[in-house]
Amino acid sequence: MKKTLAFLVAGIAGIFFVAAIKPTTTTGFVNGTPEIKSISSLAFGPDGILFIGDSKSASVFAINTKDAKKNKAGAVEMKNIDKKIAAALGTEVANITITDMAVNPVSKALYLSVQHADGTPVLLKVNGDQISSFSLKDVNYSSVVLNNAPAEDAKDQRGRPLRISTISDLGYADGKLLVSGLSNHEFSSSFKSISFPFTDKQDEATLEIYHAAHGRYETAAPIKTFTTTEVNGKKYLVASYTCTPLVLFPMDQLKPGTHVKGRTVAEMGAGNTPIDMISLNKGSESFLVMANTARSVSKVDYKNIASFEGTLTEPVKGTAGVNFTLMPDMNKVLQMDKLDDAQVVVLQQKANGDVDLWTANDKNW
Amino acid sequence: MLTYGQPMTRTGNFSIYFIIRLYLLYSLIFFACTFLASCKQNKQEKVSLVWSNDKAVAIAIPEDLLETAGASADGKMLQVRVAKGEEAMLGDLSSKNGHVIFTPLVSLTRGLLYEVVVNNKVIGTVKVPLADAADAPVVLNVYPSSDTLPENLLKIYLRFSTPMREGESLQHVALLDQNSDTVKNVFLDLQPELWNKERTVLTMWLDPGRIKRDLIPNQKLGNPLQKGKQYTLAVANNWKDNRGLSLKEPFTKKFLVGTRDELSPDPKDWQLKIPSAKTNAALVISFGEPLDKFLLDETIRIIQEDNAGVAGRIEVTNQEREILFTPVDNWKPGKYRLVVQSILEDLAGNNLNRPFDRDTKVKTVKTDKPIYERTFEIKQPVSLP
Repeated sequence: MKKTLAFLVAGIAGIFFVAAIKPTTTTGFVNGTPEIKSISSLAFGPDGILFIGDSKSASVFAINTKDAKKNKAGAVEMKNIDKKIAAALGTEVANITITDMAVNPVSKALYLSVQHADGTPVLLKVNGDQISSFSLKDVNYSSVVLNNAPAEDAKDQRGRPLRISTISDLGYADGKLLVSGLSNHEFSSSFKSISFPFTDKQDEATLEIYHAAHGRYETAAPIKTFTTTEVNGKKYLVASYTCTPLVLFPMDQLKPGTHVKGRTVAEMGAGNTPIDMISLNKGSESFLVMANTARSVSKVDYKNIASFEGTLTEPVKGTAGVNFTLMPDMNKVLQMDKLDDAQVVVLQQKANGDVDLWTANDKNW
Repeated sequence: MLTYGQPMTRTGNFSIYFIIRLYLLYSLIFFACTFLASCKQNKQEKVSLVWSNDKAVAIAIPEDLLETAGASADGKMLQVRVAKGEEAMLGDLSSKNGHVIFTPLVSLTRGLLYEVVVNNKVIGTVKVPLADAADAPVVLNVYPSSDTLPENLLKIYLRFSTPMREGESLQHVALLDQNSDTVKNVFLDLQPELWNKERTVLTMWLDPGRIKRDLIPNQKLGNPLQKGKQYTLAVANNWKDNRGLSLKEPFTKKFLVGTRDELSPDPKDWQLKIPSAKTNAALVISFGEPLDKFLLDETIRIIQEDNAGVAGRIEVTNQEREILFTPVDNWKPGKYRLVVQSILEDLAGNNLNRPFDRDTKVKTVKTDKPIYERTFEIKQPVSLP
């Protein structure tokens, strides 16, 4: 009897032990003040974890915002947000740059990163008509360094990855943090997939992605922005490049150490740089919505992208390839993020120069 | 009537005494008012700035000033705002040496006046002085520094004397043609911009969509630069640094455009001028063409036979056509390896492994080497008979 009881106690203890060691989203997190030198990119992961891309220290910080209470998405609107932010920071509009914007998918709260002219980064939160500071002092966080230290020993110089000087985009999908980066010296593409929660061991895949133009000219091409989506049960990475093509990669092709060639599905036209991309679902349909420097926000049906096969052999004509719909009144969108499948928060520079925050919904397209 | 030289009458004396007394009284009242006003002014002036590394990082408000204004000494009732603004600034409050310290989220802006407000009443102001114009920033260098550049030039680096404001390069940098007209859509509108950590070196890309063969921007607009033409890179002096100081003067650099460069640099073709042992004379490596200045700084190493790196300094010279490697210690006789990382690029973005855009219909040997090597030998100095 005593033996049975002992086994029972040991068994229960074992269950608790297994439950205790099961990794959670905050496994490996520490309490303290992360040394964040810049905020170039924001993205939310699970359970209110905010990823901060810090280009200056070539690191990504995962911050436990503890902002994980489920809320219903409510439209946000703030006119002249740039002036309000400048006043809250005690400076002039010319001295601030809104570097990114992210909606917490759980709480639906909006986070903005701002850079002051002297380089100081600031994380802000918008609640209704109030701007507040999200302090990065004494937080629960973890981090990952993107640039491996250069090997001191000459024998060990193989496989040295591209050194990122600017994190161009961040994303989180299926337990992986995806990072695209640009170098200020090398013209090349860096795309990393890092397991989250971060571990001491760098569990990451570094991919060199080539862009093949019309099946003829192949170049290393830096990714400016990307998103992930699922079409007909297959997962894709949709990436947009500094040279304006839109390129599709099946996620299962992105394997460590490989040089993956992208399939160009469209070109966004001359003099244009992509800013942000998001995926929206409307009923059974899913769309790619993309903000650009030189044209209005564009929308394209993923089915068209997935079924487009011709580009490796045939030149893409015009901005064709796949059909884009330009959304009316959506020019000069500076930042964009998804509030829910029907609403998108937009930071837009109006014709009179004002920068307004507002929420576009499916009536806008 | 009082006239000069006449004796004073009693009535006259009374009037004068009255006027003098009245004058003294007025003076006293005036003095008292001025004194009180100046006292009040003095208290307002006690709001002061806290400096760190040449930046005004906080505002110090004396606790007695807060108490006089009816606020608690912990400063919880106070607000700080830009003068004539309506929004209160975000920041932290702390206490030090009888002062409440308000630390905003970012440093205070030079030239701006700040108000300390309690119960909607301004109890003190402080102005951040402008930076010394004598320290105005300048453009130190532009790379490539050669005055003839390839038609498919990919990058231009601008190096400044102080950290500059980010995100506004396209407002200040222009490429002018032979008629001094601005050439449109030459540079890529890239946000965030590519700066070094210190924000003193900016990398600007000429639109790669226009350089890459067969892309729509290339077909429609053509290459950004045209062979045989002369251009001027112009940097306007209204670009401000991180202290709000504009560039001391505009900067221009003229260059001529040569032929397209579609070949990868090949270390086999480089010329080496090898110094003698027992000296620390520079090893001179000549490339026969200009290469990327900043990649040259970081991709080349000299390795000894035992695989130990040779400590030394690399100087990029001759308009990025050669480098001088000067060792810290004198050269020892023996065999050495020149090790170059394959990421090294020329001015058109061709690196050691691949040209900028590769024609897949033309059969070329595709390499994927991380490093390229050359060996050389340091010999004993020749002793004269």
